[in-house]
Amino acid sequence: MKNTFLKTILFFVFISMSTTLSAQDYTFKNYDWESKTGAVDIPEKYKNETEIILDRHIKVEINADGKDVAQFYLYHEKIYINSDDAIERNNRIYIPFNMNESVIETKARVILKNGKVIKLDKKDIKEEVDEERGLKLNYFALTGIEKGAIIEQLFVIKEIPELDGKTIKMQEEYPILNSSFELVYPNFVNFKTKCYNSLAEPVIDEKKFDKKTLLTITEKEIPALHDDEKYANWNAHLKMFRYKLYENYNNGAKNIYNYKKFATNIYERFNGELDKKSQKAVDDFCKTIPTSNDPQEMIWNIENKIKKTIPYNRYFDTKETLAEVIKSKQANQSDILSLYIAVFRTLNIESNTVFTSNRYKSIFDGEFESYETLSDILFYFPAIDKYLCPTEIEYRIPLIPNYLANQDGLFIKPKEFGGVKMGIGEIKFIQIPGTDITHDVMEITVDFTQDLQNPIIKSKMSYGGYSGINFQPIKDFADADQYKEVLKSVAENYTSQKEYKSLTTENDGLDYVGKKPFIMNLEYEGKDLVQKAGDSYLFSVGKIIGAQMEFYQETKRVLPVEIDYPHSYFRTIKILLPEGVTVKNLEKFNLNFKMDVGGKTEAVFVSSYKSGKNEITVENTEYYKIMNYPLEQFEEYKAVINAAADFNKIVIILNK
Amino acid sequence: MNYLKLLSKNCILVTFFLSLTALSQGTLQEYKSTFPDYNEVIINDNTSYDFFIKDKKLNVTENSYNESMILTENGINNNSESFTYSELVKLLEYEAETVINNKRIKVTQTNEKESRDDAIFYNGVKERQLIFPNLEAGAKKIYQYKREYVDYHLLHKYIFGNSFPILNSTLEIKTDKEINIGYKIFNDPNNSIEFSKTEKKGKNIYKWTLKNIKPLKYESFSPGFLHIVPHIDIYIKDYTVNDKKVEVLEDVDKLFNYYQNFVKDLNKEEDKELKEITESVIANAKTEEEKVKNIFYWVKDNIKYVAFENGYEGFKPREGSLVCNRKFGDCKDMASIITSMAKYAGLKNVYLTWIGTREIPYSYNELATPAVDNHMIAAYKKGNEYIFLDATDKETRYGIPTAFIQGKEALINEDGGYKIVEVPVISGETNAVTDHVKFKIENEKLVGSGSLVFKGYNRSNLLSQLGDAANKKRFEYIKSIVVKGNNKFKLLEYTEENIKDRDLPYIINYKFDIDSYIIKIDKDIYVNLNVDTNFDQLVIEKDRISKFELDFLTASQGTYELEIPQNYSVKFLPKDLTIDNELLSGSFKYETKDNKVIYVAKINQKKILLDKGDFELWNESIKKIKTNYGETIIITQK
Repeated sequence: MKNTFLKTILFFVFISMSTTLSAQDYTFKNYDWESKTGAVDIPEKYKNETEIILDRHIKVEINADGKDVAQFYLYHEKIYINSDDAIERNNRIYIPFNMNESVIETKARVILKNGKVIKLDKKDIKEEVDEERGLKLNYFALTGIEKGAIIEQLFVIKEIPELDGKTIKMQEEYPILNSSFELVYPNFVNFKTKCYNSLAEPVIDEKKFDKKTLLTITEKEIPALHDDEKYANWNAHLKMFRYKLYENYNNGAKNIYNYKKFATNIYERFNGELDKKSQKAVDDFCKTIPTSNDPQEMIWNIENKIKKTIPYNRYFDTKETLAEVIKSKQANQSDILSLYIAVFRTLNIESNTVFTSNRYKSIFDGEFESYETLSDILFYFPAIDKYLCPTEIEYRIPLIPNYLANQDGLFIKPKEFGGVKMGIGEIKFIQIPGTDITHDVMEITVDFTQDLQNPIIKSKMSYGGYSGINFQPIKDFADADQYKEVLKSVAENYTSQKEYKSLTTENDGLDYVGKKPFIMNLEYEGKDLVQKAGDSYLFSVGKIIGAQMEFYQETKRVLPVEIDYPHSYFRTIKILLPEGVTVKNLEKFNLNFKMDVGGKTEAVFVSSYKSGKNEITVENTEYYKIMNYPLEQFEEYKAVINAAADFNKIVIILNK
Repeated sequence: MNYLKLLSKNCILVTFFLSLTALSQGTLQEYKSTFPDYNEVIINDNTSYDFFIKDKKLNVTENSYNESMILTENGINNNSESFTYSELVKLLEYEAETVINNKRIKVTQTNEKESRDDAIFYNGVKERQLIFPNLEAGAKKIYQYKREYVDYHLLHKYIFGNSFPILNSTLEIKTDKEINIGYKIFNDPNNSIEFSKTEKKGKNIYKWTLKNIKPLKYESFSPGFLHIVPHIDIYIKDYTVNDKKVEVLEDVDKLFNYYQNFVKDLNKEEDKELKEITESVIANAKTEEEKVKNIFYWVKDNIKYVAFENGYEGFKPREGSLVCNRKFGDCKDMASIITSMAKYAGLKNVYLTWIGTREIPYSYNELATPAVDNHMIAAYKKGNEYIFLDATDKETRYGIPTAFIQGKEALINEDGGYKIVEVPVISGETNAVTDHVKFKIENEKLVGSGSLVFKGYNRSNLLSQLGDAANKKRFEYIKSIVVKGNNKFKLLEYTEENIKDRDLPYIINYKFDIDSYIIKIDKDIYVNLNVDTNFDQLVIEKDRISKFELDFLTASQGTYELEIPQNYSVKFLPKDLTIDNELLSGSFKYETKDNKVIYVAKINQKKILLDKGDFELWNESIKKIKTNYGETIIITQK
């Protein structure tokens, strides 16, 4: 069996209906671009844009003829090219579609400033097949483009209907002057829709077409939303539209795609009794897993065993049975789900299966039950309130990819009804591990006692949780030389130079992920951090904590801040001085910036110092406890971030 | 983050030889103890060619055999292998299996895909992906495939190396007696590659073997792996059919003859449109050189780089008229349209030219096969001098070649014959970057303005990265170029000059302030005028394997004037420094003039490719520069 994805295997539901419509006909069959290609009028305010989308029209029609259901997708776009880079961005066109779908029409033309029109020659269209992903691609290069030209393309694909939830993004990095989306469907069904980020509401017209409903969204002059801000979730703020099939008047079906049904189906499919051979294989597999009385460690052991013996790949062929999965050591998405569920059940570990999506690509919205955002799988363990991600080999409980957390997901858990276990679905928040886990500790000693111009600096840096996972897995996948190079470049961020006296690490490798922080011990000469000026020594002490992120010149912030994960730091710097040396500028170490969100302190940078005999101790605490910071409070967030960067610039002056 | 990506398989040219007899084999434990730092070892990487005469034609088939063992449980994720084929190198058969404890499990999941190369829009090369099941430590992945070469001029090079260690790497060539071959071995200074020539059943058998090969190491500033990795280029010299000897390759004459097939019929027919365009493009040109320059710039401005390289499309330039119509083309197409337009302009001295980019380490006389070059340009002969016209890079000005062919040999298709001419390495002065900055101290901030001027490759490099970036993106980019001191550098405003005019330097005028940079303690103010410290990261590591290559040479000069505030005087000025050796020269000089401290820092790079023998001197020079970067001036209140 060829690889297929969970969502599709399970829930492809036809709108089976008696109707006289032929699935081959669609209302926009005769839709065409204008034969006349007059000059375009670019509004004054867009004249300096490098690229302007004059028109973008998308039409989707769902046609049903008995069991024959098809979807026609039309894409028509006109782009005004106003720079050389815009030519390069647009002169190659790619049209991807699935293996069992077909392109009905592909047209493209270039309209030059002087009115000359260059049409795409169909024989120039290349087709490429990707057997791994089951995709085809039609692509071509457009000829004759120059600055001031318009590129127009129109294509129609006959495809598998997308009824269980689909998002149409209606905003871009470039302005769109005329934009429309149309959905045409038989009048015996109804769709549920939702508009995001103040997109215009759809208009329904039941009269325009016979026995069909037309849903239209029209927008004019959609401004560009630039994806150029740090710590922002650009995709989540685009104007967009979601739709899904909701009811069928002919058979009375209502709320056709809903999470309750999804939960029941998934539960049934993956929690049924295994065939004997598979159960035996699972039992044998479980025997190879080291046991632990600590529930989290036990789950860690299971995860580690599976990830180290059975590679996961979305595109592996589906295996007939779990016995086959274990034997062939290959699992795709549904195989991996079966395997984990079977192992958890065999070892009596209570788990919920959680479905969600990558928050940077497509936000999960519990109020609009779309299957589109059930793309990724997690497991949740109620007993310990922790998550596991079965598909990413470098993660271990409690760490899961941060892009799958800090948003809602569909939790599927068992419940008994009269002695029968059923799967019930619940929308809950997926909590990301907090600053107690992603916590970095830095202990630095700067010893000037031997040489004022060349202190010996010893740093012990411990990186917890998500900061640790940036480093820990590398050792296992890179060879020793490559790993050394990576560590060197990490060290350089602190040493400000290529050389160091010693660099050692602890807790590296997958065996420590989720268990212990990654530790780097670094000893180096600080001569590059000391400048001599006359009789004084200027020591750039701030640099030894590593370069910090800054927002110094961020003025007009457009999108609210969204960070990858909560994190915190605690740093101590001990400066040892020889007898008789005085130090100036220490007051710079006193920094205190805090930000409250909803009455709670959520982001902080605080630093202070103590001066003793021949010794100065600096302590600083920095944390970002939550991931989303309101736009109106950006200035406060910026102040905390910049305080850390200001610390980098602290220079103290030593005099004998 | 996907760490598997770090295992970037230097898919160099996976290659061959069908070993039917079992070679001596080690166990997992033995391999693990020999290679404790690796997740996989390649046991055999063998390629065998068969050159034979059949139906009076020379045929070339190639068998490739690859056998590797997974050494650790982390290695199981490297479960797919692949090989490529195309119109010119056809796939005849393949098979693959996992072997574990002598049990063979056939690979059943294989996928065909387009083998994509980012730089090429369409190359027609397909890739067969093999997915190995049942992997665990100790499992072997074995695959072999057989391909046929449609054109015996276009054989692949054989590389002794991979991103994993290789125990045994063998190239074998079996030829009929009527076939003579030639070969060149590169990067084997100690003659570690074993060679044998034997005869068997009336055939000559050549065999090269290298054992225990360390994995290739990635290093920055490397001229490319062909400069390091041991490899062999083989070619067919001649063969005899019916007593008639057919010469194939060996010297530049023969290579040139072969290349003639691709260009001899090019641009023979007149195209009205291109002719008219040419006439208008050169309308205001007064001299021959101006005509060439106008044509060159027209092509740069109007023809975008899009490469279709399916089969012989990769060798044969397209008609200038077609390129003009399409408004795009690859390097050969750009060379074709330039020469075609030159012809319309009545110029007889603009020629098609083959050239290898700098990652190819051979000269034409060293290796006269199609492996010696990979690029095409036009060359204009001005008197006795050649001007190289490479339109693939939009920004590089007329008069200098593109940076990536500096120092390479050009094979110029001149008046029915050829000439080999060396492309110059462009001096640092031609690519100069100069910055003139004026500072004042205001409220403990350093405020000022500057004018940064870029010439040559520094100009073109920068502008091609900037592109049409606008608004915030452009601002951020410009800021990243002019930034000084620390990241509290605030760019207040900027203007740009000569963005469009390739012949003039690109200039950024800017105003800024820098907070938290100067240090004021009591009566003293400390200012380090080394606000641009570009060289401190260029230390070459001791264990470096590759040569150290710069993209191009630069002469940089920064002039920094600090206005001394009223009631202040200079308390301390650092010592001057001068460096001059064959790799670079530099001078760092401070002076006080009127109410200013003027600091002039100059560094001029002299050598574009540093050999191992240069590293020490280079590092010594960088060390001096770094020490100088730490020098701070002190001014004090009177």
